[in-house]
Amino acid sequence: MVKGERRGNALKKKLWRDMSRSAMQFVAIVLLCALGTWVYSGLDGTWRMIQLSSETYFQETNLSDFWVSVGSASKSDVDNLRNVNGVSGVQSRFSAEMDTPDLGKNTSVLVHAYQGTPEINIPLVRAGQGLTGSDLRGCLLDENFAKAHNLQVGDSLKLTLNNVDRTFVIRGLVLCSEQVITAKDVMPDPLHYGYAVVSLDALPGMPVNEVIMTLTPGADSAAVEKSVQAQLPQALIVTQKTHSSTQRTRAEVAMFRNLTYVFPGLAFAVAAMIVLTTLTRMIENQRMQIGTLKALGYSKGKIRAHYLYYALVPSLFGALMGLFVGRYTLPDMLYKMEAQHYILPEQLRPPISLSQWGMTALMVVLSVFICLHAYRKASQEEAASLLRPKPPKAGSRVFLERWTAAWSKLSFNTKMIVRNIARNKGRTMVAMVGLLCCNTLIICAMGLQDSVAACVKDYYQGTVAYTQRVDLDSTAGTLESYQKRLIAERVEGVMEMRVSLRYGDSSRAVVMNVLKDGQQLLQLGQGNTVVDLPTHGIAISRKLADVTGIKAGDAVQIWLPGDDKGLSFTVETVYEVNIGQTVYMGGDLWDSLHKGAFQPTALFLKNPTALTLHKLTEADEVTDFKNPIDQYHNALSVLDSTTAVFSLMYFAALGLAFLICYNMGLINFTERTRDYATLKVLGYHQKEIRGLMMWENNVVTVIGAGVGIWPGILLTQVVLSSIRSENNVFIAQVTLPSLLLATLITCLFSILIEWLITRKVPSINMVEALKSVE
Amino acid sequence: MSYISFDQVSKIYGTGESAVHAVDRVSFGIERGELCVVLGPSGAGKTTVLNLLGGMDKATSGTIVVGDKTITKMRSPQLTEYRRLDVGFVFQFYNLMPSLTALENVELARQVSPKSLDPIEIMRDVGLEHRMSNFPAQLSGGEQQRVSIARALCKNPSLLLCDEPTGALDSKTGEQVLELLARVSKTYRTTVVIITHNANVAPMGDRVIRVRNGTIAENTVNPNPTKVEDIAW
Repeated sequence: MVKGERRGNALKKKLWRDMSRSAMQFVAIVLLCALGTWVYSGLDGTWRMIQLSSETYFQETNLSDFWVSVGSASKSDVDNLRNVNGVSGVQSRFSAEMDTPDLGKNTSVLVHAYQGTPEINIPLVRAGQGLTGSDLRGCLLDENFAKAHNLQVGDSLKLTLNNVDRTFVIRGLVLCSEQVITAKDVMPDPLHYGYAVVSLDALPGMPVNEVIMTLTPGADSAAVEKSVQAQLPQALIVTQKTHSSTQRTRAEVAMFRNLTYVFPGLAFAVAAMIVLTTLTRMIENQRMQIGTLKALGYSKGKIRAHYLYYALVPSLFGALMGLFVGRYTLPDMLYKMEAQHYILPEQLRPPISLSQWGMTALMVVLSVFICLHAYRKASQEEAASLLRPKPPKAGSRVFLERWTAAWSKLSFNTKMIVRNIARNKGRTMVAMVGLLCCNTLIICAMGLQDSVAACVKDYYQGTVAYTQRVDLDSTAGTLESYQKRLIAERVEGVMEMRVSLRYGDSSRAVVMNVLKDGQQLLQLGQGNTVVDLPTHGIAISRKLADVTGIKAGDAVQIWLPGDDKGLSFTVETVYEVNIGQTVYMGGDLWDSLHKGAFQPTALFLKNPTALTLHKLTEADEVTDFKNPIDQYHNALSVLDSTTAVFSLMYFAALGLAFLICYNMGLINFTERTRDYATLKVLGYHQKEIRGLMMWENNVVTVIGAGVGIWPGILLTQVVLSSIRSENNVFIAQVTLPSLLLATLITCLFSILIEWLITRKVPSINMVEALKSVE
Repeated sequence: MSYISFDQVSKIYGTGESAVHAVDRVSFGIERGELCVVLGPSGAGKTTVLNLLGGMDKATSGTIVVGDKTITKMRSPQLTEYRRLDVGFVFQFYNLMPSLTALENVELARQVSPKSLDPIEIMRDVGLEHRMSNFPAQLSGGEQQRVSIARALCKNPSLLLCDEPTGALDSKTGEQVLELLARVSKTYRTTVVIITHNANVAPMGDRVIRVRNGTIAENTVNPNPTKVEDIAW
């Protein structure tokens, strides 16, 4: 018994000493296991954090399930809606964009005027107090908008609608769960756009134009939608699935959730591969010691248990470290970045999920299994055989040598390098895979940026051919009157309206653009060419076709605002427009519908004179000016705000490459120290030996990085498809400069790592290295 | 002055109380073209002498001169040049590159030596013309040692240093290797230094240096070296 205990202690001491002797390799295992679980727990934690934070917010503020827009809803309409089966709450309000003349010309707020105290979409008060239904002078203001304008509780706010000014006192600064993203276009811009809440009684004469509804838990949303549609045929119904802010918030959660299937898989595979190589080498190097333990009479079980600790200790430590570090780093970083656009009141950290624990356990089990596999190979030999040094691996001819003409043209050093690479296939493969992954990740990061930039560029510098867009309010004149008055190369107009698109059993609130036939400033054809608008039917954008499944030739109905009957059309064509879920209709077709004259909501101007622009700035009906160049740069700035994500990808790529290449490089160097010492003895200068090492590394690097190009493009496609936005069509494209730059970065990094390793050459002690055969 | 001259050469490993005098104030000389056998028991310091002579290690004190070069004054790059141009090494465990064939191992030496000899000729000379395209793992120990000698000779060195060249071989193969070394010494007029603990080798040397406890116990010239085949093993 005492004897057994002493044996156990000796093995434990051996374990810790072995670990401290091979510290670098154990540290590599720890870091790799940590990397695997870090990426998973980080991304998993991110989507769970955004989900928990947003869903809690939605629940606590009683986010509506339906937003039903109508021209004007009577009390009985609202009561009828309340009685629809499955509806738990209904509240009516008036919603409209109002100008804030005191805060600048292009500044407006979306005002929700509630009938009574808000009970659905309850504003979350961040400063000041809430609003009661009887408060006719008070308003609640978007906290971020207030911050951007230095407004505080107690200040007054002038709101203008249809040339009527009303001044309110700010009672409180709030956040609204239906406005997680408050954007007029793509990007939130609190300096120019926000929201406010007032009492409907404070706006006498204003109709109820929106009914917000909540459903009972488990209610059939589609059935309720049908019933509402039946009650109010002219209503435009937006559900949580199509409500821009809510949908984009949930899409963000879905994106990070999808990413947890891509990147952790990659990190896991690489970590497992390196752990496999490192542990196999370490146990192979211990064969004599295994033989000695066997010869001393230690049981197989005891020796096996001893070597299993080699994997168990570092993998458990690393995997847990990755789990906890991942939990507190990535989600916080990514959340902070997201919080620039997605306004949530509180960052809530979810508990460690079962899947995170599962992945941590998997990492440990995988490492232990790898170790067991490596040990089994060694343990099958007899003690006597283990005590003899392993015979060196025989050299062999490489495939290339069959082409004698080509082989003979290679320099001696190149031949030697080719043979070495072939001889150490496993190690070379691992290093290549490391570089492959590195290049794949960098290409993917650059490809994502390229693809998003290309989408934006294609729209604003391709589809859009005007140089100025001028938004008009409902008092605008006819297009012809503007064409006569304004001096520009070309003046065109668009009539935009929100309509309900119904197809099959589904419906969707979308924007319809009515354009005059013969228009040229929206190049909707393939390759951004001018096309004739359909004369008998309508056209839809690619994104709308994708999300609805509607194809050219399908029959659809369009319900115009306020109509209680839909209009049937055939979708004649799908335009390859990258941005927007849009229906396009020709002006002649519109006129034939007799739904009112074509009244532009925006003008498209090509190269207007300065005087024309000046005149327009003075015009009362003009609400906004938009320059496609500015819009392009604004959209690109969205990209800038996500730089941290891409930086993270670069960091992960280079970290991965460093871990793998440095580890493999060290193993390679250690195992070939004898060869390098022989070269030294033969009179090779240090720089010549370092040159040989670098040259060998360069071959591996070029192959690894080169082979990584295709997976990089593929990964870009996979990631893009998982982050598919509701509004944009992203086509994966990686530009040649990006490909070259990514490959160059990978290669230079690999060269840097190898250079670090070659710095060990001077330390090779010829006498020591060549002393024994082991 | 002798071609090789050791003057009061010491090599001390470690410092203070743990200092080990591997070689202690050793002085001897070897003439050009001689086959010198350095004999001594394990741990006597003979490998240290060879390492110092070959520029693989630096002496703590004393002066080593080979021809017109003072080895002990050389810095690392000069020592590399010295090993490259003047010295050929043969090791007990051959130290061949496993990924190179026998001929390619010899060509490896040619890469760095401007006055190298034809590797194929040398391979013929050491009797391995039929094994040139074999990898080391496919060769016997004796054959590997002959490749190692061919590699050393290919550089056409003026000094061939052999550390226990027969240590890993059976007596018959060892005899063949020693015969080859003796022949090389005569044919190429190369100064050959053989380190061994096997006293049977001594009679074949033109000179025999006996090392004991890091010092020279005896340095004798043998006017009538015995042919290898005549030595009783």
